[in-house]
Amino acid sequence: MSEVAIELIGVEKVYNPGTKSEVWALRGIDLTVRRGEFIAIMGPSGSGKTTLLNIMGTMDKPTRGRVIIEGEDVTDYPEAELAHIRRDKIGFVFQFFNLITTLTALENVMLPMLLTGRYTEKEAQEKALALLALVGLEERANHKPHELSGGEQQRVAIARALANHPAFVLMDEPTGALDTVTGSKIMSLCRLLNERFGQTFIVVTHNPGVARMAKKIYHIRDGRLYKSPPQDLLQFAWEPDEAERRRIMRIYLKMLRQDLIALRRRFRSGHVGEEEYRRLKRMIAHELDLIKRGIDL
Amino acid sequence: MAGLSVYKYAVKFAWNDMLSRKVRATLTVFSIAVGIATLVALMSITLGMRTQVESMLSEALGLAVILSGKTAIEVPVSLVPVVKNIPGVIDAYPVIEHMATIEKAMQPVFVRGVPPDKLLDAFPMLEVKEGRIFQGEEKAILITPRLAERLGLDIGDIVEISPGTVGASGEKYEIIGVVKLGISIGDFIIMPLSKAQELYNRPGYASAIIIKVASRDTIKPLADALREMFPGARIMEPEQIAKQIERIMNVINATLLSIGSISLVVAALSVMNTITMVVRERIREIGILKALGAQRRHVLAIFMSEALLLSIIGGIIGIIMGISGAHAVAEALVHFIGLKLSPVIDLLTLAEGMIIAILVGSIASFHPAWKGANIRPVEALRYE
Ligand SMILES: Nc1ncnc2c1ncn2[C@@H]1O[C@H](COP(=O)(O)OP(=O)(O)OP(=O)(O)O)[C@@H](O)[C@H]1O
Ligand SMILES: [Mg+2]
Repeated sequence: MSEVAIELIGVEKVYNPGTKSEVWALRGIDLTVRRGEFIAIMGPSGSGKTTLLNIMGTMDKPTRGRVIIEGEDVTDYPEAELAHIRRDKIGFVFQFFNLITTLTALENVMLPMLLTGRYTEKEAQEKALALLALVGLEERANHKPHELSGGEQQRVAIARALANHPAFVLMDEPTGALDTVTGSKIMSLCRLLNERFGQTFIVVTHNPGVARMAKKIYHIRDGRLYKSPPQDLLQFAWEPDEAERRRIMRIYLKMLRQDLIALRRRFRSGHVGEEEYRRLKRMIAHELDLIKRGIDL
Repeated sequence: MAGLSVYKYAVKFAWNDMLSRKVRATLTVFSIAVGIATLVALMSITLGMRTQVESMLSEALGLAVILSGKTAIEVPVSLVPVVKNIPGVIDAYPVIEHMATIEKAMQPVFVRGVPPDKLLDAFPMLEVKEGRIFQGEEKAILITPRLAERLGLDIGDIVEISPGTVGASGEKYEIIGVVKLGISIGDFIIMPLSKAQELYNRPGYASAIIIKVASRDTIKPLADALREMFPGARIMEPEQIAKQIERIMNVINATLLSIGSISLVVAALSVMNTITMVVRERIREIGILKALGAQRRHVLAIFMSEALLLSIIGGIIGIIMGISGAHAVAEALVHFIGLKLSPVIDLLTLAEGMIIAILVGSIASFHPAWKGANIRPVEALRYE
């Protein structure tokens, strides 16, 4: 497993190049995000945050520069390949309207897993339930998005972003449509997932409160990225208690077991080779071990 | 295997999307249904007419002039001796031809009442497949093989036949024979004339008198003489019958065909419009799907399944509407121009209706669906 989740080298983005409405949205961005990091990219409106995030998420291509995800240069990949990269390596949480409105919360979370073809419907459903439990929404599994509050919708989006164990989760103003308390809870949940499970988060925001939840803050101005002096590790605005921590660990454990079930089935049916099977199994076992020890603590 | 379940959710997406816009879905389904209904009605009526024309022509090819009333059974049998006395006439006999309902059958059938001794003259190509023909004025019927097969009837069965097209209380008859009537493939029930008169409660009357002549040259003068003698009657010569039928058929065919193609075009435009609107409404969700790693084919599957759902539902409703429409047109033809016609509804017509519904739906929706599936992820996401 590569230590680097994503790397941008000299990324530039010019909209409408060579025309009167030419816009230099990004001017030579170099950025390395390691696994387990939680970074925020702060900047005022129009500074290029969304543009940068779209390029990191392979939703858009840079005009110049390279995008390297887990050691793989994906800059020139065709769209069908990029779809696979997004499916397997990237989780997205947008500002609002994150969910497919015609599907339930559960189905929304199942979707990324079903797209891989590596889970049966039943397996995806079990794991999706665990993911919803992780974000505290197991009771809302069968609700449609319009029956959920804005904060609940964001939590479903987070659960969905985690479904395929992405290398990193990209968030564009994830609390932009929420009140301060709800926003703070959402960010605390991300922080918790980052601390306990090493999930990498990249948050783009103009909200200093949100940025403060990150371990590292970058500033973007007119398409240029500035590293701010290392910040002190700030305390959570909302610290989960011990019982909550254990609950979340248990659910995560269940999720990993679900992965193991799917993996074993695919190994037995010959969809996964011996070597790949052992490697993935070792990875999952390692995580399981960490968590079990966490619960015993 | 597991990879297929994602398409199940594409269909679910489409289904829920359809339900979320009930009025629009209903209108689209309706426009498809009207198109298909017109087509199915057209095809079954045309098929029915062909059948009818073939049988009429084959029978009219004999040297005969037919004297009939306007619609009902209203020609007095007492005219027969009068007609027989006209020079050039070698024979004349009354017949009844009218609609009836046979138990178990869904479509009305035609009853032919013929004097038993004239049976072979009325149906020159008659061929007994099973059983026997009448031995006198017995309360018995002959049926065509097609009818026997369709209703599962056999020699010796007793069936109830009711006059008219709606199930009035009827009478019971024994099936004594299954007969082929030559190239005619319509469904007929043949019974002795007197029994047909009883069935319709018209003793002493017939639908028509068949007047046989010795040579082709006598047909024209005889017909003219008859027109003079019986101004209230309808006098038909063989050529005239053929021509009249053909003229009517062509007019109806052309009308139905143009209505049919116009309504199919309307249906196609309606589907195209609906899917274009659906794609526009769902652009944001296309963006989300692409962010989740959905391929073009997954997005395409969503919009195509919505188009297919609309087309299939429209097709089913259209087929049902088409069948009843065909019958309504047939009734109207009997009522207004006295043309007796039973639409022929075969499985092939229905299958064609369904296939055309699906084809129209998928062809009309492919362009907007393809465009939707090809929207670049960033563009789709920017849309709010
Ligand atoms: N598709 C586009 N075509 C042309 N210019 C664009 C396009 N998208 C963004 N821009 C321009 O690029 C610059 C950066 O835009 P971007 O959306 O990345 O900003 P942002 O930091 O996300 O702003 P906000 O906080 O308002 O969302 C802006 O000047 C914007 O007008
Ligand atoms: Mg933005």
